[in-house]
Amino acid sequence: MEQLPNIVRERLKSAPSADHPDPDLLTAFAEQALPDQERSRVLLHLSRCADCRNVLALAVPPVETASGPLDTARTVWFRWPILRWGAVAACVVIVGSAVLMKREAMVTRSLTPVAIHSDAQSGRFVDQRTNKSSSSPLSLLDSEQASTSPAMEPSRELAADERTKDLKAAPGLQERAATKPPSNKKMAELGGNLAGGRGVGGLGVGAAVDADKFPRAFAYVPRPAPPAKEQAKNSLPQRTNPATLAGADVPQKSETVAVQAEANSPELDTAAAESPEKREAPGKAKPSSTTAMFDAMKTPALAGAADGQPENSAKEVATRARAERVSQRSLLSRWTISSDGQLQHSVDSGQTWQAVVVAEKATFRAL
Amino acid sequence: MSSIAHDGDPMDRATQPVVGLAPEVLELASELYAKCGAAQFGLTCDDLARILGEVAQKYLAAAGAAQVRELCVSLKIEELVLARACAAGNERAWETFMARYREKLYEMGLQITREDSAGRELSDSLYADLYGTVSRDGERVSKLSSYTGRGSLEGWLRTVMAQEHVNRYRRQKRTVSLDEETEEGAQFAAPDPDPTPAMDPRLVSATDEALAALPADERFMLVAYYLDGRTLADIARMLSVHESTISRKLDKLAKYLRKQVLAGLSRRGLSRRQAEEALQVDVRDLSLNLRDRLTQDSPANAFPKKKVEAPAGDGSD
Repeated sequence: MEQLPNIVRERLKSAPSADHPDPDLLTAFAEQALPDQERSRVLLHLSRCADCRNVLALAVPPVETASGPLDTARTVWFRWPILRWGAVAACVVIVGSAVLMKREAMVTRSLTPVAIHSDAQSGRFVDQRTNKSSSSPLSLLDSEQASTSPAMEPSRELAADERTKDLKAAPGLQERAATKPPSNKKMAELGGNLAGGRGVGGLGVGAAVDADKFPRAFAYVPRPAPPAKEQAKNSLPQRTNPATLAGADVPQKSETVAVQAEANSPELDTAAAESPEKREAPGKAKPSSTTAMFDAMKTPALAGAADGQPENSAKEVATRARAERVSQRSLLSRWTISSDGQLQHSVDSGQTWQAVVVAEKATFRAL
Repeated sequence: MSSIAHDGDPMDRATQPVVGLAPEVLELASELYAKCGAAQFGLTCDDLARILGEVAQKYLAAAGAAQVRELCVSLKIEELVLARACAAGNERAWETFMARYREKLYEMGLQITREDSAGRELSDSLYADLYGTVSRDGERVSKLSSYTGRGSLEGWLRTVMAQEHVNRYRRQKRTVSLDEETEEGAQFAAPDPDPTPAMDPRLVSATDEALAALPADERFMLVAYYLDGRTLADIARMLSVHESTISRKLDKLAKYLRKQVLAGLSRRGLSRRQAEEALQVDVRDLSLNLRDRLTQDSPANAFPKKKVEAPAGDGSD
């Protein structure tokens, strides 16, 4: 603060006037209730009378009880508390928007379709985009989805292990299976895993069958092989049909199969969690709609193992069957009822349909 | 003539007759009577008119009807009626007054004196003055009868209490104990043998001229800050402005005054350099002790034979 010259300080000490304002005037002055002319007179006296200044200083209420208006030039919106909470709200909005955008990007990326080309002659699958080939389409899908869904890898392996353990215990399936199928219960579990999209990269399955009646109710009857000229148009590679379709001719051409992989839908997991009755329970089978798919997709090598070879080779067959199932589980399975009431199943996203014989007392549950 | 009005009884006071009041006052009293709640305290419309006439006479002795009406409308009528009813001794008015202001008076006393015992003593003494322990011509005199309603009753009570506190302080300040002063180490200053040299009249007149040109609020700020030593926050509270406004204005004022005084000195025949020297140098600082200067080379006597006793001062500044 600029210093005042001493002479000015001295001359400010002027003799006060005799007419001191009464308490009413001082009160009105402090409360800004005086007209301008009267206020100036009181101010002039106050500038000369130290006693009245002392009285006024004591009479003005403290800051917390003062009701007089302050300088109105400053807007009340720019108080620190308001600015602080405004900044916090802005940060929350920005962070929330960024999280939502990233989440959408991740979901979009995981839904990207891939085109896998299958060569029936060589028995290998080729990714049209990356030109990678593999004996199983799943491995091609895995390479596409490895970056987006790494968390699924351990669960897929666990599911595969579960299936491997029970491959020996499904008598009902041995008749048509190229290898030792798992038990009814375990197959139901596996089907449930597939139905729920757990551990298999998110495959959706449309229906479930009561596992108690599984061996009797569910009999996968593939369609007879189409004529040769129609096979060329058929987009389903014959390789996907097992050796049970022995009479079918394998198309000579390689065909492109569009395989769509879906992200592991949380709704499915949530639905399974919210409906306890659908959960895996001892003694009850899980939806096993893909069981027949597995049966239908046996390779000739696996089929040979079901013909009664020695136990040592059966293990090899089981291992191969496991690998085959893993490779095939990425295909989408569809279910429908035809116009004449026939239950039909498709393993190629509805391009071809196979009739399914269902027992009279079978019950269906939608997932 | 009874000076105490009970509930429902009209006031019986020796005031100016209603017929002598201005017609605008009578008209205003009839307008405000229903709103102010005077009837519950035993006040009639005539009583209200008399009160308004007193206030107008005090502040606007020879003013027009419009100014009188403007003044009466700006008054705190409800509180004025309450105060006057209390001054007249109306019990219901006192009950209302005590309910509203009893605790507030103790709080005010504490805020002013910053000490609990002194605050209670101050509040109790004010209560006695408000009730009217002093009688004049057989009539009880209450301090509440001097309330005119220009400001709020609460603010008026605070101002009255502050005024009483300042008066007590001034009375006590004049009388000090010499023993206490000596124990505290205060030394009584010897009278200055050399008179204070007179200041340059040109400097005095230039300074007075610059100060006279200042508005009242700016002069108030200068004296409150440079003479009273008040903080910027206190000054801002007294003037009901923001603290930063006070700081900004004081800085500008100091520079402005210096500039104006220099200009005034230049007009009075001083050169720029002389004016600046005159402004910066305080003549009292220039006073030299010639005796010390002249005896500087002579050795001082270690044990002077003559003892000189300095007369004691009165201890006041």
